[in-house]
Amino acid sequence: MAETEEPRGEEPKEPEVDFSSDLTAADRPPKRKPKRLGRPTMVVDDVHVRYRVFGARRMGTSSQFKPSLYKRLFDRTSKAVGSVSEVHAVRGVSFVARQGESIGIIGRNGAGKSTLLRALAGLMPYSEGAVYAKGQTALLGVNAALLPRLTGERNIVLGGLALGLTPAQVQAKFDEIVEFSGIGEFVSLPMNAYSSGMASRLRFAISTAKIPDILMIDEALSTGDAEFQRKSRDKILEVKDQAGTVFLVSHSSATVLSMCERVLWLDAGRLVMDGPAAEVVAAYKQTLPGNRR
Amino acid sequence: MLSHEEAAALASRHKLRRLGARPRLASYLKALVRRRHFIWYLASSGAMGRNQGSYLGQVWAVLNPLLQFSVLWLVFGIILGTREGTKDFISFLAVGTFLFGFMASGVIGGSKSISSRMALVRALEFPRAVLPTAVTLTEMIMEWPAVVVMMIILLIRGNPITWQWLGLIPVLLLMYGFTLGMAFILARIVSITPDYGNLVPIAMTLMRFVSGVFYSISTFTASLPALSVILNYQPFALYLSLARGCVQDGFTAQWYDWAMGVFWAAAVGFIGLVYFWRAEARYGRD
Ligand SMILES: Nc1ncnc2c1ncn2[C@@H]1O[C@H](COP(=O)(O)OP(=O)(O)O)[C@@H](O)[C@H]1O
Ligand SMILES: [Mg+2]
Repeated sequence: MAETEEPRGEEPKEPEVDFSSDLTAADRPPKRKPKRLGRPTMVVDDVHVRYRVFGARRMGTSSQFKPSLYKRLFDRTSKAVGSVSEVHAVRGVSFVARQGESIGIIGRNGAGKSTLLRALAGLMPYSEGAVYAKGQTALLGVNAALLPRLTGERNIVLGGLALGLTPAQVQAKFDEIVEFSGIGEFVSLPMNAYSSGMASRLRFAISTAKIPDILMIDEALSTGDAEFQRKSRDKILEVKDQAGTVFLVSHSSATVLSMCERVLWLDAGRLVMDGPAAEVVAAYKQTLPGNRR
Repeated sequence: MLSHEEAAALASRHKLRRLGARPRLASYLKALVRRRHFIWYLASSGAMGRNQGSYLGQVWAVLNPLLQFSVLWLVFGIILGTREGTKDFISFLAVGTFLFGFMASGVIGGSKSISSRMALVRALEFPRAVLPTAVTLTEMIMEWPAVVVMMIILLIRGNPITWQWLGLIPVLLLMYGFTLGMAFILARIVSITPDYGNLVPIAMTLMRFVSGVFYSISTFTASLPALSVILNYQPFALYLSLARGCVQDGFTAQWYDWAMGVFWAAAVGFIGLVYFWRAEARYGRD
């Protein structure tokens, strides 16, 4: 029970209701005419991702001095070398994402959602398969601070430069980023003094300063307040409008349903279902104990 | 469901790039140069952040090498007496400690530059060679106060300022090239097998003892010419003697010393970069 997610009953309930009415309203105007699905922006072919875990690796434990010490240090290919083991977090996921699509990813804790997004963003090597992507990807994870000991200001500049903006472009966008994040004068404090909501707002503002082709959001919206949620949804629509693709991991099925037309359901690293949001979310809910309808 | 061939064909038809494929060396270098502002900003932020967590702050950048200098002076100059062949021991030791300190902290910091910044590596996409480059640059920035202190000590000890002092600039640049190459090599090794991270400081301690920081290698190995050549021309010792040739009265460096200095910087720097680049797709795995 403890490890299963409660897709409902998350904190930001009202804003979601607000938003769905917002969305339908915003849907009408010619700004977002119903587009036919565009060209592929991402092709994911049988991707596997593994973590290496260094377990009880303390100096002085007897296992350290077994004859395999040499092997332990020099043989990096074997599957489990002493207390080094592997977590096979993503086990063969395939799909094609297209322009203008927003794709939700759901699944229990530890299903591999965050890991999959990192691999799709090109930030974590995958061990098998292939990921093909168009243009620039941006991942907004739960660990929002780039360098937590530095101030928000410095993180903004650093993030902008890392995205490939020139110093002049960063300068030009600086105020906009601070404004969008809504953190005010906290921008001159080190980021480890931020609440997690503030940090992810700033990070969101940094990463979308230059609209990416593929935007990936890993539970970063759930920490923001209603105002921020509204702003970030606007950004997501903007990405879709500019022929990009959005991936969204959220614990709230209401968020997923309101934002995504397509949903991938991951379990234990495997893709269980890939289809229209309502269907997949309903099927997923069926498997949650105490949450049947 | 697509087969592997169909997936690849679909991707190439729509001009998608394959993530995690190692870029070519030339385009990797170009990407690195394009991120030069990022490198510089990261390096200067690192220098600022370094001493922030203490009351004396940046003063430690001077105090730390000065304390080390005093300890070595006490142990080797006074107690053990390794002054022979050093002309003026205090000047000799000042050049040795302060410049060796630069190389050592560059190598040690550089070796952890990937493994200690996993959050950054997993958050943003950029050529990973940015990190060792920035960290060794940070060390170089941090070293400036120490270099100034070294010069003050040299002046107090009566070494005349000559145009040769300018030679310190190329020496520092060559040291940077060599240190960067070491940082590349070690950053890759340590990020893939973290255990080696523990060995790097120990190896640097060993180098401090064999690189003529507080004694004259030639004097102590006078009876073993082969050993003398090896010890004198390994990069750490060589850069110290090049520096002494520039700033310490009574020391001169020959053209072949400079040639070796250039060789070490170019060879280790280039090999390091290529070695690091070859594992580009593997950083960030844990
Ligand atoms: N840094 C890590 N090192 C080792 N294993 C990890 C690491 N991060 C996640 N894992 C493992 O990978 C699996 C998938 O984790 P994750 O992608 O975070 O799941 P989710 O985001 O769906 O909750 C889990 O079994 C988790 O234990
Ligand atoms: Mg997660």
